[in-house]
Amino acid sequence: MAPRKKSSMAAKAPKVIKAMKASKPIISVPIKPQPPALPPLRVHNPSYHFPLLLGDRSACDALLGWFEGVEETRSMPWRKSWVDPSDFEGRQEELGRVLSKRAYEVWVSEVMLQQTRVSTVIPYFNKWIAKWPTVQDLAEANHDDVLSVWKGLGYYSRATRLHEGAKAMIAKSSGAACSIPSSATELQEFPGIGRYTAGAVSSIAFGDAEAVLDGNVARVLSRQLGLYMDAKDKKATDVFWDVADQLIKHISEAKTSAVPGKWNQALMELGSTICTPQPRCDDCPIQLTCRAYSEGQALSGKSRSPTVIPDIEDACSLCASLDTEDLVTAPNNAPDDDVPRAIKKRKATTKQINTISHYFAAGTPKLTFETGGDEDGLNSPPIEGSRKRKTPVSAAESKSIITYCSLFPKKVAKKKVAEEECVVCIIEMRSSDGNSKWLIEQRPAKGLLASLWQFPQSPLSASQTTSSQRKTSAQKHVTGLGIRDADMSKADYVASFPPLVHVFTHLKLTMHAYQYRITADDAEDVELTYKGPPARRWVDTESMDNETLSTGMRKCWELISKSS
Amino acid sequence: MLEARLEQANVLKKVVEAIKDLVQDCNFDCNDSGIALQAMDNSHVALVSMLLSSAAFAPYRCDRNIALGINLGSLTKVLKAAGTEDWLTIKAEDAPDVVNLVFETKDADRISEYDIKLMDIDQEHLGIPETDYAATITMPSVEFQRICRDLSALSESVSIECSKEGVKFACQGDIGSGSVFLKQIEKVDKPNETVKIEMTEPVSLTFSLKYLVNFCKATGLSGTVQLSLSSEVPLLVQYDLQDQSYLRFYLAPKIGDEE
Repeated sequence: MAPRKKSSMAAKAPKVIKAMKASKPIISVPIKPQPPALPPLRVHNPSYHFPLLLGDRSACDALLGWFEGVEETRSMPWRKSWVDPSDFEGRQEELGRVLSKRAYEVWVSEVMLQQTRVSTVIPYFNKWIAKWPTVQDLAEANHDDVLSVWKGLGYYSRATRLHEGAKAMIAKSSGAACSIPSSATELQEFPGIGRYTAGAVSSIAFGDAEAVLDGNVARVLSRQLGLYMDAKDKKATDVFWDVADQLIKHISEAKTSAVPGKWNQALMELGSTICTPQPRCDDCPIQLTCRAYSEGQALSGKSRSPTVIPDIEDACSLCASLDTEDLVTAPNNAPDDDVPRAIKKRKATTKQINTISHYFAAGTPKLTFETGGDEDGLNSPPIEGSRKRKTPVSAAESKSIITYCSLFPKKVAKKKVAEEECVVCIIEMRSSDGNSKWLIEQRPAKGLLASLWQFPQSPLSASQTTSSQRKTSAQKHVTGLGIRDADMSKADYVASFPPLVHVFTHLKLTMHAYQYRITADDAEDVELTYKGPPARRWVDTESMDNETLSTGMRKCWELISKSS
Repeated sequence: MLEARLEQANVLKKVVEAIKDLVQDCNFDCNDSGIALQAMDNSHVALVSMLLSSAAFAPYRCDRNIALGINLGSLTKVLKAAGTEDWLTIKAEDAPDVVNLVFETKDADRISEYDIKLMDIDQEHLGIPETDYAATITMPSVEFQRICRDLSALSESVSIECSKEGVKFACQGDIGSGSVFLKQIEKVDKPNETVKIEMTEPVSLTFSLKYLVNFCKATGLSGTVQLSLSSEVPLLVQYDLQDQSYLRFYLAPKIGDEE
């Protein structure tokens, strides 16, 4: 075998480190202020997308002020105030230790938060930090333990890479006070740390002016800039990174301070609570600098300004043309809809029922009866006198603006998720004393649910659709397992269970579980672990809960626990 | 406690009969001004509002406000046992588990008594805003019933167009289209056959016929019916009962692409 070049971390890292140095900005400063581009054509030149926030200090302050007000509301354990090294009272090593711990917490939280909801992450984060309070502790941890604490959080390679990253950092720092580097460029050299995580750790823990860009920030920026593109498009992310970088450099004056961390978290918080796919523009602190919002306003006819048609040569080449169908459904119907989501619904069903609650306000006190001589009862139905039927114009208008904003960033049709089916063979070994053990095996170290444990299973081909075909396939798999000491051909079929569906982001897996039983006369003689690969083990019923099973397998196990 | 005696059991019978297909369970709110009911149908498209004023009962006594949560199906079953001419007395304690209904024949030689178990119903009360309707049509209730029934054979929805000349009910369906036009006409000798239109501006709105046909089950309660319309507000269909009591139905108009 030819010797492979070993890539050391210190030398040139194999992965490409994204440039952090400010290069020429993609979007140039406009010569003169530009009015909102009018939908549906949205004629504008590229400098239209120059972030208005850059020229509006008060809007930036408003965003930071807003964040200070809401920072605590979702009580995230990883949100702590910035440790200012210049104010730190204590020895240098102590400071290094504190910063390193802080950076480690930010890092763990950011990795956990990728693709995962805050409420889900909080308990995992607390458990993780309690088990491994520092990078050092994590680096020394057993990989199986790491996986078992991560169990249930999904995307298990994140845990693996977090663990590898910690090990690499400890190896590299060789006893320095702060084992985690502060610069985003250095951070990116470690496994599992990309441009986003590096920016977050560097800005939040160390106060460096480094940008972050996640889905939430991209949505905020897409609307702020009025950039109608697929946010995942490479060209779009280039623009967003560029702008995010300009903004954070602009907002933070000192070399390091609490501001960068606050700014980045403010953008993310805004994207996850206000500037959501169906935004709440009325509560937005940076509405005034929002291009999408002002376009929505222009569309609803309030602040119409003369259209300037620039030379086609100067026209913006980034924005896609607005989907006219969306535009028609959106602003025109929005005032009729109580819920902004109604538009989506209408598209699907094209039928929407107008309800009485549209007109009459709910939750009012009980009706008052009229008892006096009431000749023309018609004109005075039982009423709450102060209730007005029509919603104020401004509410309807703001709804149509919100609907317009929700068009940003450009939506792309999702790929249909692949569907797979498999048979899961849950094999019980019952010894003469009535105790049961169950067979589990470890998944390969790469790929989906890497290194997690599962019940032996085998994929079904598309043609195997009938229950008898499935059962045959399960039977074949059990017989073919090749376990020494236990004769699998003697495994008795016990039960089958209704199919379980488990949905991964890219895969919909339907699991058909079958239970088998073999009887071992002298269970003592049976070898309980097989090296494999795949590694297999017989596990007691009671200790099954401690095994690193994926959520899908846990569901299968519940079937068994319930049936017995 | 509540004690209310209705001279004719038939009134309650007909009211319940008229609304039981729209509403399954609802609260009868009793206070010193009378017994009221407000409920939406399951799909929240229509709203029923009823008032049996205290003046409709003799005697009427209600010391505290009570909400009687009743299943209308059960109430219908019990009311079947009442003769049309019977006196009906409704009785309930202040915090009742049951409502007690007593039916007496006119000469008081037969007295039957029923208890219906009550339910706890969490009901939202909607505030119905005061509306100056653009048009109010008063017409024979039988005529309205007939129009709704005839047009429902062709289509699911009817447009009601009101102008100075009269009112036009029109529909379009798969098999064809149809319309009924009623001119304003006053019959002094037969007030029940009068078609009267009071309007400030012409209106045209579309409504679901299925619901209107349902409302027409109240036809027996009153010789006339009033339809009140304004654009972008629910239609009000009102049947006036004796002694300042009424049965009202509100129906949300169909919007744009609903058909």
